[in-house]
Amino acid sequence: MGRHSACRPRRGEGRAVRPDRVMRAVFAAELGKVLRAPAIWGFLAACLCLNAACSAIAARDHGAAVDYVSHVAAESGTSMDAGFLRRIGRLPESPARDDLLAQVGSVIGGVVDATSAGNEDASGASASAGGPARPSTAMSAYDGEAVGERYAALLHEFRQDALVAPMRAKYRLVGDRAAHLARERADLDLYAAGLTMTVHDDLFGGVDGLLSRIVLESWAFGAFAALHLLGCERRHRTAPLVDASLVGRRLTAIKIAAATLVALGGFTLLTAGSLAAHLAMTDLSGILGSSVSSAFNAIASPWGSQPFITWADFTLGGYLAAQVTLSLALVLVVALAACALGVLCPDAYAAVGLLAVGGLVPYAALTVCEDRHWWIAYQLLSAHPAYALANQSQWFTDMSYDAVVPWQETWSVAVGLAVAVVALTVAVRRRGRIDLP
Amino acid sequence: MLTVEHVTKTLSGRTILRDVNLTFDRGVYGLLAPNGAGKTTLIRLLATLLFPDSGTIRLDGEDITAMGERYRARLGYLPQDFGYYPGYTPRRFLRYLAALQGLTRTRADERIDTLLDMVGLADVADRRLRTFSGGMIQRVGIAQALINDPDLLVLDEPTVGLDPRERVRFRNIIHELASTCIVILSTHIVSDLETIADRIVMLRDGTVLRDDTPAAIRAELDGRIWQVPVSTPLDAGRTLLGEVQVGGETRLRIHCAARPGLAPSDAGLPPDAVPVPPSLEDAFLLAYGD
Repeated sequence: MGRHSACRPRRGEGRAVRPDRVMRAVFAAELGKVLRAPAIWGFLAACLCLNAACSAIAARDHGAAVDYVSHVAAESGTSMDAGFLRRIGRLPESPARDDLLAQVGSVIGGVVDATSAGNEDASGASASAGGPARPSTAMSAYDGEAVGERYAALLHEFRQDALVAPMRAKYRLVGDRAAHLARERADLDLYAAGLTMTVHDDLFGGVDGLLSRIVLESWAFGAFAALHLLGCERRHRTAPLVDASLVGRRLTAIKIAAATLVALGGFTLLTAGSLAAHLAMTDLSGILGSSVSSAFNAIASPWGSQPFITWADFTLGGYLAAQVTLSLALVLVVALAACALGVLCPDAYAAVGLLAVGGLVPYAALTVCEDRHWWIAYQLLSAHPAYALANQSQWFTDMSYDAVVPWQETWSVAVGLAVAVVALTVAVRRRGRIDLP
Repeated sequence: MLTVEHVTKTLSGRTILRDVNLTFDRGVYGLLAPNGAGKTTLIRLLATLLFPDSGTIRLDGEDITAMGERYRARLGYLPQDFGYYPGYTPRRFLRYLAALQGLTRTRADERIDTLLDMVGLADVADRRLRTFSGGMIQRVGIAQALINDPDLLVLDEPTVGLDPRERVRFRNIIHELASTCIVILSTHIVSDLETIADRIVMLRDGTVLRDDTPAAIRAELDGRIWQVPVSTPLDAGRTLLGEVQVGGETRLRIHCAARPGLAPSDAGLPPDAVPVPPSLEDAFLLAYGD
């Protein structure tokens, strides 16, 4: 008879009523196995040190300037208008104040005489009749339809016509969002003034950004936890013992739960520790309430920079929270994928190799597709976690060529999570029905 | 009662077990066969690590695959290649395995103290396993197989690495358990079974060659095992079983197919040939060749 004879357990067969305490006790034991590995804590400490060092470098380079802007924002608010300019003008003279005046003035037009105080109401707005005049910015002038047509023309030129219609539709929505953000004066929020993109990149940008670094570190950490725990019994030749015990093959699910908890716990520790260090070294408290769609912020487009148009209204604090949340989900995807490989691969080294190849090859493919303007192929690869990591600096925006639907990075992570869960379920169920080595 | 009913198992394209039928009740059963004969495969089927390609294994009439955890809760298993966590102490390792067997911490600690004492490791309960000898590790293995007070004890090559004193201790443990347990020992060391097994199951070519008591197996060879001078020709009908030292002289131990009870000369043997009581090892060598 073949491998799938009637002698093998059917789904749900043999499942006795099992006290929760047994599962809890075994779960605690499995957790202990991982947490007692010295490499775990050494790696976390090294990552925290690395992240703190990077934050220290950023603080050394521009921390003082950002601290000044944050302090000004805390005192004078974050909404740039004539009243805001006047309030800055009344601050003690310094190069930092002058820089800030020039930067704000470049957005809202002109530098207001610092001595012409008293022309403002309690909100700091200009007392001119008809309310404050709204300066024109790239956001307020944004024409989504026109941008969509430009992308359509480029995609046609690159022979990626399948994406033309969705890209047009997307930029109609982007245009609507730009209009909304302009009405809400989000573009007239200070953020970090002239250092906005630097601050934004410090936190969210590329592989140098703090959160991207944390995601990569958490991927490595989670993969180690998963493969360490799931390969433990094979490594020590204890698999026959544990598989023949009362808990038996269900130990696999317990190990997966423990490994996943450790992976997410590692991410939480890294995020909390690294952010705490970063925020201690660079004061962002005054600008956390500022919109990330400030005119000082931008993303790249084929025609230069374009406004940072997000699919929802985000303050810096809210954007940071959203980034952390999606990053957590991204870490979960890779942790579950590592668990699936740990269950399927008889050899831990093979599992590590497959995980590395499974991560690096799609990342390289995405890079090649981007470089060659193979955007259809690029979109087909977008369900892979590498896509989300590669675009982390522009999450929750239109993302130029890199997305064809709103919130694509979020959908990508959701699809990745679904695929990982399915793969893991198949792996675990398979293990429950096969002959064990 | 544990029954193996028409079980066939093929691995890597080779039929390891072919339509095997066996019944085990309380007592000690020895699975005796040379390496590669299917003992470990049968043991792993009993431990639910493998599934039969056809046939059924039942405990008290119920399919052990369907029983799942209810079966494994009554099973104690010592694999052939017993692994362990080098950084753990015996106490910690047994605690972990006790948790896998569903024991509470209190009950586990009681059992661990009892078992470590039983296997003579109480003094080293808190030393790391990486410092243990092979025999000590094997004793930890025996202890873990008993952690859940099993009704069915399946031991694959349990005496590997044990010195003679430890083997005696092991046999005593098995004797104690035999009245309340089904104990199945797989081994190719005949002497392990000679004194403790109630029944011997001999496997060859994936089938059951013999399933009988040690006395019955030996009785078949009564009168056919001889000690003869070294110069005795090994004609047809005679099989060499080994050499023995008798009073400084080397003599051969042979099996002679002649009818039992004959005088040496009638059996075609030298006059100084001496009939000797057969042993289980004689039966093993005759069944499996060299």
